[in-house]
Amino acid sequence: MSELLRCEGLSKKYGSKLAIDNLDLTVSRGKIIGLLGPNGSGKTTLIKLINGLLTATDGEIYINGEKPGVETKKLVSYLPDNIYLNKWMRIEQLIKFFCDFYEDFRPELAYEMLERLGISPKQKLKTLSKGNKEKVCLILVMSRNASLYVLDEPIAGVDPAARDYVISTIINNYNPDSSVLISTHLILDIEQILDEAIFINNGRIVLHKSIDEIREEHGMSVDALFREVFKW
Amino acid sequence: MVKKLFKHEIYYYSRILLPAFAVLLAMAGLGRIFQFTELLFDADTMPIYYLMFALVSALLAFGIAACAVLALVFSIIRFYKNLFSGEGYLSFTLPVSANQHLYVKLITSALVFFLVFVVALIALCIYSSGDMLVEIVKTGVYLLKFSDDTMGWMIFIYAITLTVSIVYSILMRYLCMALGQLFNKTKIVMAVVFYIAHYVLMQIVSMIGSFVFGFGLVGLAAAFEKLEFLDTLLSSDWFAIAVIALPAFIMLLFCVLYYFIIKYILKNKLNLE
Amino acid sequence: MNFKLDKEKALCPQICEQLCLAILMGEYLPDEKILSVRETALDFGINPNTVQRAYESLEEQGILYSVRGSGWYVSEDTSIAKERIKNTVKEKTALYFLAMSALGYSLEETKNYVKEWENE
Repeated sequence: MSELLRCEGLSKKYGSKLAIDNLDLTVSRGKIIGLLGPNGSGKTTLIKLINGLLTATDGEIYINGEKPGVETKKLVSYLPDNIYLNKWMRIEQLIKFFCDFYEDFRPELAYEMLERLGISPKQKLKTLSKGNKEKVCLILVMSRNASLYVLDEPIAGVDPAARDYVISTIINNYNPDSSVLISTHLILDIEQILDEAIFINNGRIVLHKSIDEIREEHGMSVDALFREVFKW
Repeated sequence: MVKKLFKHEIYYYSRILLPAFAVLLAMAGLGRIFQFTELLFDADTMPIYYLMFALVSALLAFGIAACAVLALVFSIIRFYKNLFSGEGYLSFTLPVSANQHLYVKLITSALVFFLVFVVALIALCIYSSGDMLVEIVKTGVYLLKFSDDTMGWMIFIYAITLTVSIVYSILMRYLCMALGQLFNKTKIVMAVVFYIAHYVLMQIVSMIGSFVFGFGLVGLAAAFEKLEFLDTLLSSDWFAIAVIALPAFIMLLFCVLYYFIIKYILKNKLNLE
Repeated sequence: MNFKLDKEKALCPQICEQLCLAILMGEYLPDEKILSVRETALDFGINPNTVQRAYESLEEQGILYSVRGSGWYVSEDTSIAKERIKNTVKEKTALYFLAMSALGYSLEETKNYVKEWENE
């Protein structure tokens, strides 16, 4: 089954405001997909719905054919847009925590990536710089052998060197059976690693095409197209 | 998976409570040493000695209260922080069901309260060289031996009532927090509002309840002109047991109700905005 | 391999071009193993699927061959790669002269400009 994620008529209301508006989406395996949209377009809401942190007002989500729940959480590795780990824990404790709960977690990979960064696993998360905290979060998330990686704004607010690190980590852990969904509003930095781009605005999908299609049909880069689509 | 949840839950509490317990037991031991050494030398000539002794005793009393408060505060913080703050992003993306999260947290928190009780008792026993424990056991044995058969029931029901009320109070706070998190920007404020509203409501309900119960009983007896039956009823031990057991039973019903509401909210109305 | 990609254009043909150039320059010898898909993707910071497609298209053209479980190798016959680069060079040269003639320069004048540029 090549279909990994499917949203059908998905809606999410906050009070009277529609954050996600009757959205349909299918994501297949083995793809790196950009979820691109301006701030407040519904990217984070959609991601939280996929992870079961919010519940849809209407419509359904299927991950590997199942609605968000215990089974789908085994398949999805999620990087939130804020630092969400216990700050008083040592990195090695966090690794043990991930080992305890995720059967697909590969501790040796996490330790290897930490070593390459020169971060000691004995350190507590709160003693790390902001950039290193974010890198540790990414390492933990990418050290799982998940089917779907969902990364919410992994490159926002980090310096260019850290951006390169994020990108190479994603490429390095890519495998043809899993997909990576990356939300961002910084398209220029990420577009060369994407297979597909999803433009989202006001909770709706404006465009969902492969990068090659965009370049061939529109004769411009994803970034240029994005600027055109979201021109004020 | 549940085992792992328990492990991390216990680890969380032990980080804070183990040092607190150690301090408590040390205080008790110190108090014991003061009492013991009092006999060895002429303490009357050293006012500082009594000052220290008084201080240690006061600290022990304060420490026991502090441990109870600590257990309460961390029961609240753990539930809220681990589920509804940033940490909730991790908690709710673990392959664990909402139900498992809930009962692991509930059981651990209840056990922590029980543990505080036990440790406080041990501390007091150390402080009083076990005299107190002996007294308690003696009284217990005496009560069981020389009273009628309802006394055993009484003690049993009190124990149950205590347990149920601990669980009830935990669930009640959980419920308020779970309801509070439904509101996007005022989660904590709304939790407090729910807590106060719940408290007031329960006061009113229990007042009306006991009013209706009391007057209903008298009214019924009067209506059927059987006031002498009321007399026998009121003087019966079994009636006393029933009166004590009833609130526990009602609380238990509320526990079940709250549990399912919280579970429903965690499962279907999670709002990690 | 150390080059920049033009993000405005499709990436896949650019990778093909760069690889052919590397073969032409003798950076890769016949039957030599080249960087894996992942390594090349990391090198350029691009999508591994794009690199995979580039390699596959080069295999179709007979420039590369793959060995199951081992990786990708340069074909013994590098003439196809050379041919491909030659075509590109021809194309670029033609484009240059066409552009110059559109600006009104004759062929001779343009050649002089090339020489002038060379001397600078």
